[in-house]
Amino acid sequence: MSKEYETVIGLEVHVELKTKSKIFCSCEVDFGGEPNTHCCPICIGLPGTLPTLNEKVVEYAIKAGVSTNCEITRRGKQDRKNYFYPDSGKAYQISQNELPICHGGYLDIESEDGQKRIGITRIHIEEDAGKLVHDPELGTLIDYNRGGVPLIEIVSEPDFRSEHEVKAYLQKLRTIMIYIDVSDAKMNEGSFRCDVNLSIREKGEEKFGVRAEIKNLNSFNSIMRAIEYERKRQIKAIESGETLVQETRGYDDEKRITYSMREKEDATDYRYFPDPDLMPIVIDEDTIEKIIKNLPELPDTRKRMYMDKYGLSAYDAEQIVSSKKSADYFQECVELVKSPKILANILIGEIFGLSTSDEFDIEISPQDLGELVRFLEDGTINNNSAKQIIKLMNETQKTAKEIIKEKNLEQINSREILEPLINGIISQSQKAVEEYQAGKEKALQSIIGKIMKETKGRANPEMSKTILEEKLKK
Amino acid sequence: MDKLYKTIDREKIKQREKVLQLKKENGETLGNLFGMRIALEDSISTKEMLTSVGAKMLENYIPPFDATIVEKVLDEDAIVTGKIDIREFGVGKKIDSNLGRVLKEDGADVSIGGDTSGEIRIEAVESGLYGLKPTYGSISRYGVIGSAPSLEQVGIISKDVETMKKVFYTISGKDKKDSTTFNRKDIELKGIDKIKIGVPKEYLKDLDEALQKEMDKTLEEFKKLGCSIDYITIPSAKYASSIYNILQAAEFSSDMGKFDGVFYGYRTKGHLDNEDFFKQNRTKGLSIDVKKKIMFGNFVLSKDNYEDYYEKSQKIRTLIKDEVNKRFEQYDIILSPIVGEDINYTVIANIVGTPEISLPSIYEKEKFGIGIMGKSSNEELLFKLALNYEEKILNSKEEGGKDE
Repeated sequence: MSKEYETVIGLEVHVELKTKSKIFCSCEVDFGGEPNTHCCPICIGLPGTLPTLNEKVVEYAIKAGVSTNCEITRRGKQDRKNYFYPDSGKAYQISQNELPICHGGYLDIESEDGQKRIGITRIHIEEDAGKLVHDPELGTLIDYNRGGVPLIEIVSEPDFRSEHEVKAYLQKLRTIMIYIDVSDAKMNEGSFRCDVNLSIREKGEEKFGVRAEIKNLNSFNSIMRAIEYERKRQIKAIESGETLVQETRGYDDEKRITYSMREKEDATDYRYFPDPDLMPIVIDEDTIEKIIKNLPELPDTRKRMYMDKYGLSAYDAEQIVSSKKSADYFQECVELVKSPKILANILIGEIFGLSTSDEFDIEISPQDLGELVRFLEDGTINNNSAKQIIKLMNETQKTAKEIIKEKNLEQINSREILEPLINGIISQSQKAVEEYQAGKEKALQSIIGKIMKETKGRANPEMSKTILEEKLKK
Repeated sequence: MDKLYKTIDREKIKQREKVLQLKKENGETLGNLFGMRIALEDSISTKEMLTSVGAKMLENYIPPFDATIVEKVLDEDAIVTGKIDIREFGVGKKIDSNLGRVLKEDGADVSIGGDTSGEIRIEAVESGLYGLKPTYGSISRYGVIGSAPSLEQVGIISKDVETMKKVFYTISGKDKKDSTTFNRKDIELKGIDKIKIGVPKEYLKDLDEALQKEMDKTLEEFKKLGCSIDYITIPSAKYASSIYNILQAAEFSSDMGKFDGVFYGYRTKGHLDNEDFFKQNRTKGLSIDVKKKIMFGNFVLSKDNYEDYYEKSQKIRTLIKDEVNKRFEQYDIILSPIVGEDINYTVIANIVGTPEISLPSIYEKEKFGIGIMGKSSNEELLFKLALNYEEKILNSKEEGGKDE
């Protein structure tokens, strides 16, 4: 009999902060740009230069902390993490080892595996490293533009048991970072990066298994796939009696496999010690209170409001708040319509699919969508035409009103027009009529289908049904 | 005389003098340090001048920027004469420093260099000059290539107290580029007859005859000026040089990581991989003394030793600070001998962060001297006492020819 296993996952998420300048100097933070155009003696670490902490970085870290239910330290420290690699000009990274800005938080997530609370161990600030570029002709080149870009590292407890939970957490965390406006959190640009720590243990076992840290994950899909692969790999190893080693593994998105990069990460001694060039970070009550006061509405707050005020279902509300852009869009639209529910249905069912990216990039303005929903509400159009109109609005940038007029899509709400039309269809549908009258309810639908086809989808479906029922009863 | 300098451009000095002369003739406002000739230790970054810190690793290094203090002295119309060689990264094989000699033999008015354990004060007394290690954080370290950031301050050597004072007030103050700096506020000055001097008994043990005589004489003279003298104890002071060795090596080892041959210095041609590249560069580019310090620093910072060495040293540092600051609740000055071979007398000011002025000896110029240490930010009182020493004790003795 095969044993039952449990996957234990913890995450380290690096979020690039969108401050104007770097963490320890006044160089501009800018994605892209010619190599080595955004650096100075300080961020390349020339001898004698000193770091001075950008206060915005602390503010942003506190923002992230209070948005994820963390405690904020009153006295933080910055430590040097010493290592030899040319991606840093100083041969150390300024990070936080002992006293991070935030600790002891959590996020509640909803995934297909249910609701769960995920613990957040700590959030600390640190500097990003430069980028090594391997050129086949020129050899290894270094671009220090990214060096000194401020990061927060958000370390979770090993609370995840599946990739679905991981995905729900990452999506929520990412959304929060965008809501509180501390990062663009773009996975493809590297401003939201995630390392996965994964181990396997037998169900019921309390001790953790030997973990692997997986790096180079740059999309939600690759994270999901890497977890799936790594779980299978580790189980297979355990079952075949192999000894797993603690190691760092990379993920190859093309081959969809993880591969060993280096063993025993813990054996590396970074010789952490407090950076003597920097003063302790002192955070007072007022600062924290001010940040909390100015915090924008978080996704969970909005979700609750959409449920309470607009009567949306938890699922619909969650979908809308999953991106700040879509929630802002909804909020602008909802003022223009009578039925938030119809708006939510249209938004989730028709609009979300039109987005050209993960970030709800929509051509149709909230005003134009509001107008369309109003036409739906007052019966000017029906659901059927709404779909067509939205498609055309997106393609042509025309308003609903223009398209309705142009394409003659107004709903036929007039009994005088519908009655003769329905009479004609009844006479052509003897078989269905007989079936319906014999008690087969479904047959009515096929007749309504014919009416819709005849009117190119413009007939008011309810009215058509009423007329039809009246006629067939007689 | 160029041999006193590691780098000097006499032509450039002449040009600078001309520019300043013109400024004067045109009736422009003149800076605080107008025409003052300042020699810099080669650890201080200068934009257009080689800055080698005595190291093969930096033998061709010309920084693209000036240290903040260089900017400041230039803004105030001083003349930077040139760079004075230093032992490799401040810790290599000992060499004769010329920071004092350029003042006596080559017309410089002031020398500026790093003081991590007493270097500036010791160099000053060994040259019969005045030396100042100011309060930690009073002068910007930006651009100063030091050997231990938490211990080092920029120090000043001068022929007289007035000049030292002028330079200190000009180059001190908050620098946006050095977050350990602050704008100092003078503590209220007291009259010379109100000054209480404490002399740690620990420093009086095993003094040789000449130094004992010097101490006795100095204390007697200060008493004549109206200062009160008491003997005090600082029991933790005996640990000062041991923890200095640990903390300095730790910070130094980390600061030195950047010298891996990627940006500057010696660079090997045949290497297997990154690690081998760094290894070869550092093996050949650094001297054995520097490597020993780095290894020791790595040792005390390594996971297994951190608590026993680095952390314990930090705790003792706090203890020493507390003890010294406690004494300063009762005394204005802590007085000690200064002897070149023994950093134990001087390093305490680096560990605590307090200011100290070294006074040249009354009897034995260029052998030893006297250190007067004050409360943090209380340079003003040190200057006052030093001025009194200079005018009423030292110079009057010289004028009188013989004393006793």
